Amino acid sequence: MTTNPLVQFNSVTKRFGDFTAVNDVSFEIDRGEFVAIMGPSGCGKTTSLRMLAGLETPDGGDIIINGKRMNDVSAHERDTPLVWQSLALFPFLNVRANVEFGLKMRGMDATKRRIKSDEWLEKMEIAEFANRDISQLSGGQRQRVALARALVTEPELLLLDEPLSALDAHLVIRMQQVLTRLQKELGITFVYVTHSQSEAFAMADRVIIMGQGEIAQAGPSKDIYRAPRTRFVAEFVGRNNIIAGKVTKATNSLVHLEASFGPLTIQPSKERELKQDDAVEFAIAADFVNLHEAKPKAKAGTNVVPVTLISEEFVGSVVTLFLEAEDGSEFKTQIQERDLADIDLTSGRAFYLSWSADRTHLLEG
Amino acid sequence: MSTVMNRQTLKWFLWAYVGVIFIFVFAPIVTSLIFSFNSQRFPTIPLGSFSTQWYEAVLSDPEFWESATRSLIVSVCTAVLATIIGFATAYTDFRYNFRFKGAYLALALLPPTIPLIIMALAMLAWLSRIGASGQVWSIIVAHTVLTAPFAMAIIRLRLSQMDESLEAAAWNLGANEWAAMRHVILPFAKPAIISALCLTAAVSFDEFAVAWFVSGLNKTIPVMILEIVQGNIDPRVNAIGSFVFIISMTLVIAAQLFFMAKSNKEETA
Repeated sequence: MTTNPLVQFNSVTKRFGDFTAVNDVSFEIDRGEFVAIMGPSGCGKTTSLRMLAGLETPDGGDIIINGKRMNDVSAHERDTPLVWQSLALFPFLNVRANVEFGLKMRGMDATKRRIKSDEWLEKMEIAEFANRDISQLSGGQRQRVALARALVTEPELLLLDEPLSALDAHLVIRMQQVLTRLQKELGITFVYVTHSQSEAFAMADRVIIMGQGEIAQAGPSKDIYRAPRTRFVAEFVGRNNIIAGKVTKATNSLVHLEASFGPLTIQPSKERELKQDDAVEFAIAADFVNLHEAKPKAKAGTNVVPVTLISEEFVGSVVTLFLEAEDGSEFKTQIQERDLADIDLTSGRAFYLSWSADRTHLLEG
Repeated sequence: MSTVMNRQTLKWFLWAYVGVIFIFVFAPIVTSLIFSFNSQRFPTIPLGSFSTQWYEAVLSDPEFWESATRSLIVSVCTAVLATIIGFATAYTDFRYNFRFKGAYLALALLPPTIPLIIMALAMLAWLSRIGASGQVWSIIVAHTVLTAPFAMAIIRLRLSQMDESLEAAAWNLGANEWAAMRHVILPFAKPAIISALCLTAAVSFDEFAVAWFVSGLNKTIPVMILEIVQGNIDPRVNAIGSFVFIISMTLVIAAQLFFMAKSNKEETA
C-alpha cells in the first residue's frame, strides 16, 4: 500500500532564526487519504503545510510529491491548492472570478473557464451567487467559494489550513460533512491542519499529532484516541486521566501499582516490560471512569477510589465531572446527562470512582 | 442640570469654533470668486455689475494658455511618476523585511518635512549644477520628489488593510510573482492608486515655491499668478485663482471619494 505514496517528508527540517519550527520530520501520505495534522499552536503543523505548498523552503531533508523532489519547485509551479484559514478570497473579484482565478493563471481560455467554474459552483451549491461580491456572502458561503476556487483545477492533493476555525459551531459540523463527502467523491488526497481534535477525529482517516516540531504520534484516529503513546498525546487528544505510580508487582495479565492515593491495577503493555519499582504513567479515558454513590463491590481487575466532587462541566448531552481523591489527585469522568438526572451533584459530596484495569493504557516513559 | 447646561454651551462653542475656522479658510477664496465676476477693476464694495470680462481676458491671453498647458503636463507627469515611486516604496515596505527598514522609510517620507524654500533652493542649485534647470522636466523632477511621499503614504495605508495571505493565495493558484502583482496587488491597491494620482496632481498643480525657483522661463500657473500680482492690480488674478481652486478641489475630493468608497464597502464584508 505504501509503495507509491503521494507525499513523502524525508527528515524535513525548517528553522526561523533560532526557532526550529519543524525538526527532522518524516511521514508518508497515500493517494486518496484524508490525513489531519494536529497539534497545539506553534507545533509546526502549519509550517509543514506551507512547505508542501512551496510557500516555505525546507532547511534540510526532502519533500517528495508524486515521486518528484519538490524542494526547489516554486509555489506557482505546484499543483497544491490551499484553503486558507482566512480563506484569502479576492475581495475585488466576484464569486465566479474568484473560482476561475486558478484556471486563468494556467492560461485556460474564457469559454472553457466558464464551463469549469459553472460545474464547480453547481457542485458547491453556490451557483446562484456567481455574480455576487465576496462581501455579500455569509461565512458558510465564503467557505464554499474557497473550496471551489481550490478544487476547480482538479488537483490530486488539497491542503486545508484550519479552514473551519472562523465558522459557528453548527456550520462547522455541516462543513465537516461537506468535506468528507467531497473527499470520498473526488477520491483525492486531503491534508488538513487543525488544532481541534473533534475536527480531526470526525473527518480524517489518519491523524498525525505534532508537538514542538516533531511527530508525537501518527495513526488511525481511533488508535490515537484509545491508545495515546505519550503523556503529551494523552493530554492533547482528550479527556484522559493521567495517573502516575510505582510498580509493586508485574504479572503477564495484570500490573500492580502504588499511586499517591492507594494501590491500583493496570493492563500490561506489549511494548514495555515492567519490573518492580519502575515509575510509570498510564491513561484512563474519562468516559471509562464510572461514578458510584455507594462503594461498589471489590472485584479483581477493578479499581475503586473514594473521591469528593469539585465541579461539573455541562456540554450538551455529556457532563464532565471533576473530582478529587483524599491526597488531592484530580480525576475527570464523562457521563451522559440523562444518567445523572437523579443524582445530587452538590460540590463537596463524596462519591466513588471505578474503572476496569483492561481499559487503562500504559504511557511511554 | 448644570452639566446639561455646560454640555449645551460646549456644543455651541465647538460649533462656533468650527464655523470660524471655515470662515477663515473659505472667506478669501469666496471673495476672490465673487470679485472675479465683478465688472470693476478695483476690489471694493459696493460691487459693480456682474461680468465675465476678466475670464474673457484670461482665456484670450496666449500666455495663460501656455502656462495652463505647462501646469497640466507637469502635474500629470508628476502624478504618474510620484505614484509609481510611491507604490514601489509602499510595496517594498509591505512585502519585505530588511535591515535599516526604519531608516529607509524615514528617508522615503522625508521630502515634505523639509521647508519648501530650502528644498526649492537645493533643487535649483543641484539642477543648475547638472545643467538641468529652467526646463519643464526640471519642474517635474522637483515635484516628483516633493509628492512621492504622499503617494507612498496613501498606498501604504491601503496595503496595510490587505490580508497577508492574499498574495500567497495567488501564487498558490498558479500565478507567478508578476501575475500576482497584476491580478491581485494592483487591483487591491487600485482605489489608493487613483487617490494618489489625484492628490499628487493637485499638489503639483498648486505648488508655487519650488516651481518658481526651478522653472526659469517656463512658468506654471501659480508662478504666472505671482507675476501678475507683483505687477499691478489686475482682477484677472481672481479669475485664474478661481480656476486653479476648482481644479485642485476637484482632484482632492476625487482622491478622498475613491479611497473612502472602497474601504467602506469592504468594511461591511
